Amino acid sequence: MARQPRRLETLLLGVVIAVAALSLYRSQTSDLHRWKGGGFGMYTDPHPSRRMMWIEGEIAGEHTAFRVYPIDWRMAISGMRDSDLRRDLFHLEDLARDIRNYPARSDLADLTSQAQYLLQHHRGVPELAAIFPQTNVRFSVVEIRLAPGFDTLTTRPVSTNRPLW
Amino acid sequence: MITYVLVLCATHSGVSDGVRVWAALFCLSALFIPWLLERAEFWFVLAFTLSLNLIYNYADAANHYYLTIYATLFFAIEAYRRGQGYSGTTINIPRALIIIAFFLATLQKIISPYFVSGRLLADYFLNGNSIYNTMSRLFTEHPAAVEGFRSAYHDVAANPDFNQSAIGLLLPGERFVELSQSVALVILAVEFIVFAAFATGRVFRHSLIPVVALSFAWGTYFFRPEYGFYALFCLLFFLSRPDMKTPWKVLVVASIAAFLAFDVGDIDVLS
Repeated sequence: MARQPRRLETLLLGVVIAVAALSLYRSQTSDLHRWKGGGFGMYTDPHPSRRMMWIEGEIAGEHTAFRVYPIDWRMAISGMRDSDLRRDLFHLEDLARDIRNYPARSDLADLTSQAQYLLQHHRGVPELAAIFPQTNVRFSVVEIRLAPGFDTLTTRPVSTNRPLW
Repeated sequence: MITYVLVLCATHSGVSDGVRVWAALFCLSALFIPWLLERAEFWFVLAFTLSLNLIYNYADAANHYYLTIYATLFFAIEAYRRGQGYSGTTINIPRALIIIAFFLATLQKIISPYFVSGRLLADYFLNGNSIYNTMSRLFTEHPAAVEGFRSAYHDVAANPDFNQSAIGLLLPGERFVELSQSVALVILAVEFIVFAAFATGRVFRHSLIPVVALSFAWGTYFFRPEYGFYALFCLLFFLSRPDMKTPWKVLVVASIAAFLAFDVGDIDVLS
């Protein structure tokens, strides 16, 4: 009887190792969350839900920021009367959720176009005008974790992306 | 055993609605038409469908989602080999998957300063989601510390000055830091032991290897409700050692059924 081939088996294990190596490399050299990407790095860093995304900018010389993921509920509630605004804000939150675990990978094209859409279609909503000013807007990803001394809860910047407009 | 894999695939098919619907449809079809399970094409299509989630959402899938895809690919290769007239695969792929997963899990923990310093465990204890009652018996101040942590977390998360946000915490007791560091080291040791047990031929073939596997699954269960992963781990173990004695088989299958029941029922036994 001919010897049983094992090319497919070897290929599968090769794929497993390649995917894991890529994840490990990306988590070491960029902002990929250690839990993600198939590198088996779960329970090494704070849970992915600890990563938040903010949009920030300057309005009349004052720094303004709005949490996109998880969405700032105060904003969502104040916009409840406008179902289109509520839907668009939650869509923005979905996009931010997808991007935050690997922000360096994306050029934020989808997030940018969604934010631009919101700006164009909900310009009349005062809260939105305050959130999305037209200049110097940028997205930032931060993570909440324990400081080295164990006695302080603090934020760590994960990445800040270029101004959108 | 294949039925359990189908339940796992149907319940862990990612976040995209399109993929979830198709994966559930494939799995249901196979339950009603068992002939499909013997077809390599079925498993390849199921693996491909599950993989579509990674294209949509590379950075959102959990590690056991990858393991589920690898398991379906294993079934595809095995069905293909049987179709060619062989008895199955020559390489013990489920065992290899466990070895790779535990080697990487150990390595990733060693190179993570957050884990090695004990901060990850302190973080889990303080947020109250892990062994709350035990910790409260060990440290009388633990409930107050958890409440303080949650309040601080809410304030830090809502602070618009998000780059410089920091709030002091109350720790449950003097020995809390040492305990967190010790538990981190124990977890590291346990994962290395599982890796070594599966990687060493003599230990893996020993009749008591189910003790290692079941101890890991049920021991970790007290820390986190990752029932889908525990079910998958027991399943891979069962497939890697089909020659184990019947009592062990019963225990492993019962464990898979229990974990799947917790998972499908969305029941957190720890809370």
